[in-house]
Amino acid sequence: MIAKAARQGLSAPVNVTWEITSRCNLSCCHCLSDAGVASPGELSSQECRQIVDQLAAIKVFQVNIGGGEPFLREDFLDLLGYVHCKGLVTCVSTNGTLMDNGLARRLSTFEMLYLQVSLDGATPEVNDQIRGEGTYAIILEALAFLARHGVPFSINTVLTRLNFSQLDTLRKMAREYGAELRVSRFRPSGRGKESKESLAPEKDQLEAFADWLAAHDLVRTGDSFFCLTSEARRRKGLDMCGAAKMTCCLSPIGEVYPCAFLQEKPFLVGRIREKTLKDLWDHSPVLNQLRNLQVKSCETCSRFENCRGGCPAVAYHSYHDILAPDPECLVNLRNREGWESSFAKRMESGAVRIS
Amino acid sequence: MNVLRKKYQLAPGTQVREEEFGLLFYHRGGPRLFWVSCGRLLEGRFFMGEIPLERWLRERASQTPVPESRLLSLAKALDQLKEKGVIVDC
Repeated sequence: MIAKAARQGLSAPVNVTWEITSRCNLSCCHCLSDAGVASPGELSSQECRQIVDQLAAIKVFQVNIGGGEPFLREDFLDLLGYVHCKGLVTCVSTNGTLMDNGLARRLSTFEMLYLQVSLDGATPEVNDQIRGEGTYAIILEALAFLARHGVPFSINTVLTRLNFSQLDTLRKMAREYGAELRVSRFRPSGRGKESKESLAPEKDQLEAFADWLAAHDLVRTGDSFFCLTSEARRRKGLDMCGAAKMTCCLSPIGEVYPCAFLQEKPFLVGRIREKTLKDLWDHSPVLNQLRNLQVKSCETCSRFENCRGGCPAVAYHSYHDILAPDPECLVNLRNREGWESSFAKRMESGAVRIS
Repeated sequence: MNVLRKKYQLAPGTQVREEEFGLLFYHRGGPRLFWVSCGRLLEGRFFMGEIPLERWLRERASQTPVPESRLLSLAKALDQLKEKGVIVDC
């Protein structure tokens, strides 16, 4: 029923990913948004509130706020309060560098807030290679502030070949702070395009990670890894791509995309300054196309029901072809030589297939 | 059926909205989604805990009678939602 309902399109997104600013005080080498300086024409406080009103009116349940670093926006706490008073649950992704005792105390008063703090290694050597010199110590301090004030949070780690061997330690660290560990998938978008060669997990690591996930069912993945999901974890989350079906992404300047990893021109759904989100959600050809995406090469696969072709964003960024199979699914990892050459040729030719 | 005499409310942290297939529940613990394929038989406002299921359905049945099998599956779905902490009876 879920797949059918999702194909037909829900009345509204279940959650919206909102990159509320492009400003960031870090320069992580895998940043999906290539964040750094604010985008020209970012949404004003008033515009943000109007968007929240829209989200509440169409009964979006949750807003996942990221950036950039959301806490760099001077109006962010006020906006957060406004989102909550409209009945929406928030999940805020932060790099943790602006956290202090006062901010943690203030955040502890928000009942509908969940925080994700990024940490990409269990040691300074690994984390700082990705997130920047000195960040490990600052992030750990942030975790301590949040734990002290009882703010619910998770440590969010993007799985890379550098931190793969530290997963157990990261899990223990999260437990010590009374938090959860959430592992996200490395995707070659934003600055991840350049760092792919050095950071993307290796084949053996991904296979081992699938087993590791199956053995640690309290570790969250934000459904990033449905392409690797074992039977044991299938019922824990959505086992298909939620882009355009359950979620969409709003950029700092009010552009709407199917997901945070497909913020490229061919996937522009529309602009919220010109049309309402409801209008875009109901009538966008881009969203409809993704809802009905058929990765034909995967349909005969024994795991098709588990992942329905995997992550279109990874396929797009890997082969410029949204109909290419997910190269990091359990089956394709083992048989990559068998199919990859034809998609690699397309990539080399410069052709782009988005439908 | 005992369930017919009950009134239900959303559990704390739960929201619901109407969809073409029926009702979509969201529980912020997790968060988790629960899909109830009930068409127009139930609406979000049923979960305000004001009307027992029997009366709610009777009011609708005057327009279209609810088949026994549909009633059974609805009762089962409500039981499951209660078991999972999505709704509470009151």
